[in-house]
Amino acid sequence: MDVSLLACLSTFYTRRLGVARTRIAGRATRKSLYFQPTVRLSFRAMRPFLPRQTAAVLTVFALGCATPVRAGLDYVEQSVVKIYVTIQREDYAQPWQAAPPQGASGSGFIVPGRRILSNAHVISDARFIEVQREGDPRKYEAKVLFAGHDCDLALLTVKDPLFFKDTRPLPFGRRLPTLDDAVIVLGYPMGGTRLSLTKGVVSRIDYSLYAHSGIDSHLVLQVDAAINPGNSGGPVLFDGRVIGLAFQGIAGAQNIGYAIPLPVLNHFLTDIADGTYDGYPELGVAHVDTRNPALRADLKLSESQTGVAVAYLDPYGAAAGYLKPRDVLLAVDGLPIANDGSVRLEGTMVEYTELMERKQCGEKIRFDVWRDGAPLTLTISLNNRTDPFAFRYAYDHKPDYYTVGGLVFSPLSRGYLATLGGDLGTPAAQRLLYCSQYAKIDMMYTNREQFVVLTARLAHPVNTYCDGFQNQIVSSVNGLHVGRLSDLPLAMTLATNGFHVIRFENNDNPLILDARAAAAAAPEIMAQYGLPALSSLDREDAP
Amino acid sequence: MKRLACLLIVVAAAAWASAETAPLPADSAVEVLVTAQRPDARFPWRRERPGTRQGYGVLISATHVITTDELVRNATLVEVRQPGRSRKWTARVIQADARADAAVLDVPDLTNDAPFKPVALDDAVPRSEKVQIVTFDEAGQMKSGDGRITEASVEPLPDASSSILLFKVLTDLKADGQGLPVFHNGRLAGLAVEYDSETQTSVVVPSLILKQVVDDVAAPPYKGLASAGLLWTTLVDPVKRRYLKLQDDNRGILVTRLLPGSGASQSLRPGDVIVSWDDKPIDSQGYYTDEMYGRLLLTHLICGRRRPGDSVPVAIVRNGVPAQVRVILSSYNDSDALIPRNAEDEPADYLVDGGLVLRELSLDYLKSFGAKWMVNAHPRLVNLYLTRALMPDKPGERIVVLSAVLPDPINIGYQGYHDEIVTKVNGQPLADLDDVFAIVKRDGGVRRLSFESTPLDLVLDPAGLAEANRRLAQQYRIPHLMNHRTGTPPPAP
Repeated sequence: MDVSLLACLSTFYTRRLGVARTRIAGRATRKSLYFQPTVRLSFRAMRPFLPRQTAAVLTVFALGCATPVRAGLDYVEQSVVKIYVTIQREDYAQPWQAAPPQGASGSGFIVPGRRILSNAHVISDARFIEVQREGDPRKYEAKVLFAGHDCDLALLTVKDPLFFKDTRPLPFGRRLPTLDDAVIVLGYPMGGTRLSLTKGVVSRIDYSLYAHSGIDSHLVLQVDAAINPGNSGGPVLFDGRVIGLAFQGIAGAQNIGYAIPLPVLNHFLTDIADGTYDGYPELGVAHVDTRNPALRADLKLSESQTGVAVAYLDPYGAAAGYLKPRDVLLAVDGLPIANDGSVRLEGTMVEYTELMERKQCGEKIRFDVWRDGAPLTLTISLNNRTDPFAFRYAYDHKPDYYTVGGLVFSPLSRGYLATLGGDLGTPAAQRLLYCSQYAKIDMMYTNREQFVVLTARLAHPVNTYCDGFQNQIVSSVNGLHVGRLSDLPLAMTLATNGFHVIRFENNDNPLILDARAAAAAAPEIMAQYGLPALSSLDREDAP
Repeated sequence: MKRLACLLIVVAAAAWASAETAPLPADSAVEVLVTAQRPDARFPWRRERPGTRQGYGVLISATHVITTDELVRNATLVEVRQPGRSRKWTARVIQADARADAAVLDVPDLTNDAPFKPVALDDAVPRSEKVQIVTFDEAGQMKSGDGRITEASVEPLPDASSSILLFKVLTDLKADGQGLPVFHNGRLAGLAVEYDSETQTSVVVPSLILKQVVDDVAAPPYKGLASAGLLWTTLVDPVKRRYLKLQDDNRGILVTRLLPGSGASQSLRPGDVIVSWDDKPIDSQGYYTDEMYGRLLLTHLICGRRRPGDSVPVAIVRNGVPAQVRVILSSYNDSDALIPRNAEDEPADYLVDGGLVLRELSLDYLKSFGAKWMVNAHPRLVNLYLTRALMPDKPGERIVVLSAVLPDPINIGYQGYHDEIVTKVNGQPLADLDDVFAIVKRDGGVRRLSFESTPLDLVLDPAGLAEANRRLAQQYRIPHLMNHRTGTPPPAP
């Protein structure tokens, strides 16, 4: 699968972002785009040999809205709910304002503790949420308790106890289903208002990208039951028990719908048990398999030893500081790793990273390591460090900006890249994409926390000749290195001889502003373009 | 009334006189028939399917024909004939220049009885001048039409890295053919390279440019069009002018980069402001006033009015202080770039060892990823092209990439590698593919590749290499496991 076009779509919104594939020689534990999990990497590897038209343009859409009526299933009417939301996305092109509010709908189901489980993408950026039970004309206001954007899950509750009267939580399955298990999908998809039920079988159990964050990959269930926009958050039942939660599909494909499987649902529910959502731990290891005899000899591996060789360590991953490149991971938590990176878990072969997938932050993972021809056991405490270079889609977060003389500066973000749309083919935008994917691997992260980008020019006589710099990355202002947006206010106090000198990466042509004229023009620019403030940095919730 | 009649007679007489003194040298035009075969930019031992092209050229001496570079590019056979007639003469490309989009053909078997007559080049056709453009129908019947040079400006040709002077000729004839001649006063004014039917305009490479190619062919060595080797930007912004302590006279451009090894790099520095070039004042947008063509980009002063080796006076302002320097112009050379464009589509040098395909990064390779190559090719390589293409750290430096791995038992486990930048072969650092050939010749093959992105090397089994190479050559039908233009011919597998 080659993810070159990702889209999030529910009944209410569509968003597209061309994501140029990122590769490293090997596979990765990191659930981010710049490391391709097995499936995608092996596809990429073959790509040069394929005719171009087979370079699949995969559009994944996250679904926002389904229910049943069948003998023996009547109880589900007491469990599946429709979620109505009014959402308001951020406007990354004009970060001082939000996009127009839109109505949307999704599905959810009741879990123990008077709570409703749904998708994070159903309730992200929501301004107002209501839930409705099948057969009940009343809508009840709901609140988000927890949102896990890396696994696209959310937990809601309703204040009014009346809502939960006569409801019953759906029972959870005890294990992953197997291929060909008959499943039903319930929810409120487009095309009607009442509960919908579709049937199918489990077609595939695999790792896949979760489109909501744009970079995270986890286990998914692929089913051939119809899953359409609006199904999002609805339960997938096997034998009357929840074994998944419908969440995304592939636009243009037929009979392919994806559900979040039990292990991921359980991971989320366990994670929040302590009152906070920490998210999945990140190991941050990219590996190369050790099937090649010459490589095995080079790594001093004996014939009986199996494992994968560490090719790259993410500086923000939990393994940084423990593992080293060229280490061979022989076993994880006592389970031997095969030369292709798989381990036998509960009778099936899975990526060794699945063991980490099932752990929470703070738990430990043990590796048997082969380093320079000698064995070593390493216990790594799993964590999920704040990684400014992960470039997930951000939700419920106001974008930052800083303006001077009508020039708008913002930190590079996935949200901003998405606004570029058709402009992604331009050299400047291409460079932004490159930076968003290779910041760490190509060592661009060492002296910065952000890439500060000139995102717009609000035309005004003070910046008449300052065109042609859009989407370029600021390297310094008035001689001061700019490694994050919050460097700008100080740098702008350092004007010399009355000029702001703004330099951009890989551009020998500086942008010059008349410092005094720029300051004097501020009120006029604010009034003309409707800016409530020149910068978001002095906002109360600013970093 | 009488005055008007007189005027009409005078005008008619003038038109008749001009036609009389300069008959259309139509018998100088030849039809050029080309069979061409492009190399596969991705798998350089392959050739794409041969195709044929048809265009025109003009006889400029007893046996030399000038035509366009685009027409004869990657030619396997070039033939000329009288338009629409059957007899063909075999021709040979003796010089092609992508930057001038011109090529000189030699037709050795042309004898005096051949139905062609050479024509002279007119390298001083003024703007707004009336010209004649000729086309031929299927029977070879000539159609001639009047045209007018409506525009003379410095613009890029498709596939060219830099711009040259081009004429736009508005014509009443559908002049749709590569290399159709444009005549002025019985001499060649230029060759048409593009035609836009909507505006009825031909893009014409003027004889002023063609003549440089022709002159060099007549008096080798071939030098081509001159280049200074500098990148510049406009200085229109009054704020920036004040910052640079420039006078408010709307003059001068800002030097941003100097290409390593270029003439300009000897005497100019980034940050210099060029206020005059070759004694012509340069305005803040980089234009000067040409005696013949009016407002032109200074590029024409370099590649249109001067030749490689010429030394030109340049007035600059450095740190606010005026100064005079001289810049020696040189030949523009695509191979001086870190990432050459290879607009000529020359077959790339490569080495296939143990299924690892090693080559130098070039623009034609990147473009093999399709029209959206900037999105589809490897982002790291695209970024390198966008930021450093012309700027090697030292002369001759190239980016060596492992472009693909052809799956074979010897490279099992490595088949996901592609488009990785190679920094060392067998532990030895390298600057270009020549280094790789030298290392491989010394060591007998690739033992170890080191990459920029990971400290984990790719290691091959030397014992199985010869056998694997035989197998690979056979399985993937690779006639030669290496192509090394400056080296010894590759051994047959």
